[in-house]
Amino acid sequence: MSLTDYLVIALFIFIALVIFIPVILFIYWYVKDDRQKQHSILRNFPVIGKVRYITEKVGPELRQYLFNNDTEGKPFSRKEYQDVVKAGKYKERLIGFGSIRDFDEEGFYIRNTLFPKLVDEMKVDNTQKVKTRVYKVDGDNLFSRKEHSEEKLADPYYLRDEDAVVLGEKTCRQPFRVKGLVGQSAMSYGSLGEKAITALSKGLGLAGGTWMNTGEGGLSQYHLAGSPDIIMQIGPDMFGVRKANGEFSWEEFKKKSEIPEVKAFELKLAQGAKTRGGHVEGEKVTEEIARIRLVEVGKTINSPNRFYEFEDAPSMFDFIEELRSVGGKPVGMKIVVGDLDALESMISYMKESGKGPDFITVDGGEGGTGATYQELADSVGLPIQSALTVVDEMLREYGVRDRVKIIASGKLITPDKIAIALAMGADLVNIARGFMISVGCIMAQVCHTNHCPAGVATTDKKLQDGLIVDEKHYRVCNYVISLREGLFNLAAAAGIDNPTQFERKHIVHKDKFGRVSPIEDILHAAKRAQLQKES
Amino acid sequence: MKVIVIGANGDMGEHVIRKLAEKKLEALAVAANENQIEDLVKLGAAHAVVYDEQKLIPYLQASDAVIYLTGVNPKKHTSKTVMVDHQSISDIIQLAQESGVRRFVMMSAVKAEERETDPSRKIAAKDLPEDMLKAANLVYTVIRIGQLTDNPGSGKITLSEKIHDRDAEISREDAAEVLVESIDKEAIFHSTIEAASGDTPIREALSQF
Repeated sequence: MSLTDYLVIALFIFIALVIFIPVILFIYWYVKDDRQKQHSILRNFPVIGKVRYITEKVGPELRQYLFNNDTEGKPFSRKEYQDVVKAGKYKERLIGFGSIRDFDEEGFYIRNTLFPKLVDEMKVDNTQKVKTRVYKVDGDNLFSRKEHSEEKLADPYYLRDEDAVVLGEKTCRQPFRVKGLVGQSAMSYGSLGEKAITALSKGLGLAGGTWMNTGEGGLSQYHLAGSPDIIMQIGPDMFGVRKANGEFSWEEFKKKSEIPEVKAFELKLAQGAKTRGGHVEGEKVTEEIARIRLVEVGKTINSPNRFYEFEDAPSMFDFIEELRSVGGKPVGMKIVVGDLDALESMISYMKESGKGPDFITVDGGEGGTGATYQELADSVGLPIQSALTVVDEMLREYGVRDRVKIIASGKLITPDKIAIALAMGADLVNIARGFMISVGCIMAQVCHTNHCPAGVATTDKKLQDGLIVDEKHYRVCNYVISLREGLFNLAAAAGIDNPTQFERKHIVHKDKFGRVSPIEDILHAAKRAQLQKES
Repeated sequence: MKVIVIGANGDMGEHVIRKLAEKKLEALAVAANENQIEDLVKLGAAHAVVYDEQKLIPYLQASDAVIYLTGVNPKKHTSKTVMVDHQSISDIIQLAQESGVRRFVMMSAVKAEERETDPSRKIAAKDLPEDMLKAANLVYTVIRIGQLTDNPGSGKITLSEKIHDRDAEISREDAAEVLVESIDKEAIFHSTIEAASGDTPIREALSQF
């Protein structure tokens, strides 16, 4: 064959590839779209209508990268997300050219003092360095970005021993002392994959002065991988501390309480996102999950939305008393604040009986990482800023505030938000999504599908391949240390020598018109609303 | 052996105190204010006191050696006039001589002699403290360290009378170990040496100098 023949054949192949195949594909799609009965847009506009579905699918990512400005975007803006990532990667949170917060909007502000504390005057314990790794940027150009990680001895920003927060100081054989104010909120193994849990465990263990809440999915070996201090959560389904028939197992509970890493227990009455019982599909109940949770392999679990063990405050307090006497460790409860009357009657019973939890975890209605229903996530329970002040005030009114610590949670992922929560009455703060971001979460909002692209909220082995525990656990450590450092910075600005000293007087609320009001206003409004409910 | 550490509160101090404790040497830590005392004791100092010239004398008398730390960091102080409070070092040298402490290890920085190369002559005498120490009747060693970093110590350094790379780095942990290890190394008595991170184990580098 001559050269021309070759060229002719090549031309035919070219035409086939470029014209025929696309045309055939187009016709196939056209007919398919035209005949389907599900989507009206596709029936009316075959093929071209697909654009809608494709862009809709990549919308969350596109909005984040291209269209939303840095302060928009829910649940967290690009800016908030970056604050967490940078703290984890570089342990460096300096910004240039000022804040991008909208100062015309209403919000809480920290009152700084005229004469702040000097670094030398802060009551901080940096005597034990933490050996971590941070990234250093070598070059940052349009198409290339080079960075390398290096080892660093970091200041851990622990509280001094005398300022440490103690759970169950007077009630337990083994109180839980914690030298930092920030810990990881409840996230179960199962909702997060084993790699994410392991990275969190190792990072928190490395940072020290913090804790990890297991979530109600039981205590796994992944939680224990880095030997952090652990608060084991017990939900109504009592995973990990149940008998085969679903009853509470004192024997299993005792076993768990003897694990040295387990420092406290938390009864989950409710959580921000899920004021309902849990649901685990049978196919997800693998042998491993079944072993950890003490349930049957392959059987769907529908948990009740309340414990069978108790039905009111007195019976719950008796149960708590028994847990404490068997385990010897602090016992708390996690609640979402809604009806103030129910809360008040419980707190009044605390005073009357002298019993009660060692700590109350107040989850804001905005809290919650996981898979839940829209109606529960969006509108059930008060947001943390209202809930926290109310709980704190009620405990004070009944004179039991000194017996119980308050742990707050609900989108408190930066030092300023944490400081505001501390000033509103929290003793400690729980973070879930901030820690998810530090192990790689990109806010794809698909936690409920097991298809998390970052390999965080999935048990899929393939997707988890993307998550390298050895790299991510340093980010977890850096993030928590940065938060503590930030809290000390804010404390210094407010004129106090450590962040446990934050009080209501250190913050104010500014409204849209620039009017400033104290936190007590939240209380008046909450009381008024409750009165209206009663009348 | 008792070692008094002046300026123990700084970011070098805590490493020095820890190294002394590791070597089972009794450390007397002198800090800038009361708030730091608790931390220094926790780090392993046998005693910790707030800097006060009058109260310092008994401590100096009880000590066998002085480690004088300053807030020096060559990067921070380039082109600045004074790196070290000259009055304070002069006082300490005086007190040390009066109290009979013989051994005196002073931390300085690689760029302390910046004056020599500064044609404008506007930069004040950064190495004046070194000169004061050399003139005193003490068994001195001046250790000029490179740029300090927070990296973990490698335990290995280069030691020289004049380090070629003026921007060489050294971790705080290693620098502290150099200071502590040099207390009893006769090879470096009455000398000024420069240290940066390198390949020779610290103890070996100091004894073979």
